Amino acid sequence: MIALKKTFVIMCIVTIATVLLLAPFASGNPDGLERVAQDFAFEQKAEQSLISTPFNDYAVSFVSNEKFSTALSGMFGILIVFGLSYALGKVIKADN
Amino acid sequence: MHIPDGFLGAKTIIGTTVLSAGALGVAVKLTQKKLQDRQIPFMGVMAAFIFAAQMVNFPVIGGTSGHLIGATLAAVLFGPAMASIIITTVLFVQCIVFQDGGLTVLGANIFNMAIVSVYLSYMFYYLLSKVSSSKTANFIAVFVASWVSVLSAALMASVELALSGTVPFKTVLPAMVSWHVFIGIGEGLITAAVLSYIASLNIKSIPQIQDAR
Repeated sequence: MIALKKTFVIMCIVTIATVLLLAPFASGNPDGLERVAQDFAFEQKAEQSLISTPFNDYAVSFVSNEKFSTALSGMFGILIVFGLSYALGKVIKADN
Repeated sequence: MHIPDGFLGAKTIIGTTVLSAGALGVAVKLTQKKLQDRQIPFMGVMAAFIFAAQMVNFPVIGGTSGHLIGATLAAVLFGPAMASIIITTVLFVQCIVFQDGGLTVLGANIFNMAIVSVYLSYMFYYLLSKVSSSKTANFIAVFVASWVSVLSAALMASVELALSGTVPFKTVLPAMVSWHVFIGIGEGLITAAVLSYIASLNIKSIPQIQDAR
């Protein structure tokens, strides 16, 4: 039986491995919605987001190698997501 | 399945945003009652894992791809209330930091992937897992629930696109369903595999993580 802490570490490792080893090799095919939008010609209705960051579309703007760029933006993403979720958890709990 | 800005009309945007806000309010209240300190890091790493997994598009038949939504994975481990908060966090970061999914339509994306797919698939999981507690039965329950999570999100997206006048319902529904039937299989296999692995770790702490359900 393994303990809480070890579980947490394993999950972190798997998450990081997913970002570094799997995400850069993800399929470049359009996803289901994009494909339908292409096939039925409403793809062009998509507008540029009101926001613009250097991480637009999971690429780091100043890194030219695509795979490295994906991995880097993924690492950044998981840190932000973790941080935000953790903070949210604390806030929700605090109101308890 | 992240809808970009420009695909949906104002009424649909407002409607789905209001519904999502309401559902999230309920989810926060439900979570507040049961959330324990030791679960918070797990909420964090689960959200991070789902974010990471959503980056890994897998090819499906016909030159399209799919990616995990993670709604069922989160719901089985944390219960639907916490799961909807977790997925919302992922969608929020994807939208704000990476422009994956539009800002104006964030409410719709949350509605589809964090609310409908979470609660509907959890219902399926809950009912199906009552049938038997065998490993096979559990696998089937997870697989079917995950498949439902994807199809329900696709269905909702189709409804929203049609209500917005972006594309006719009779066109978009069969198209979305046909791709997501296959994408749902991927979700089913990945979710079942991850849960299987977690079960195999024989973690004495899993019931503690699941306390909030």
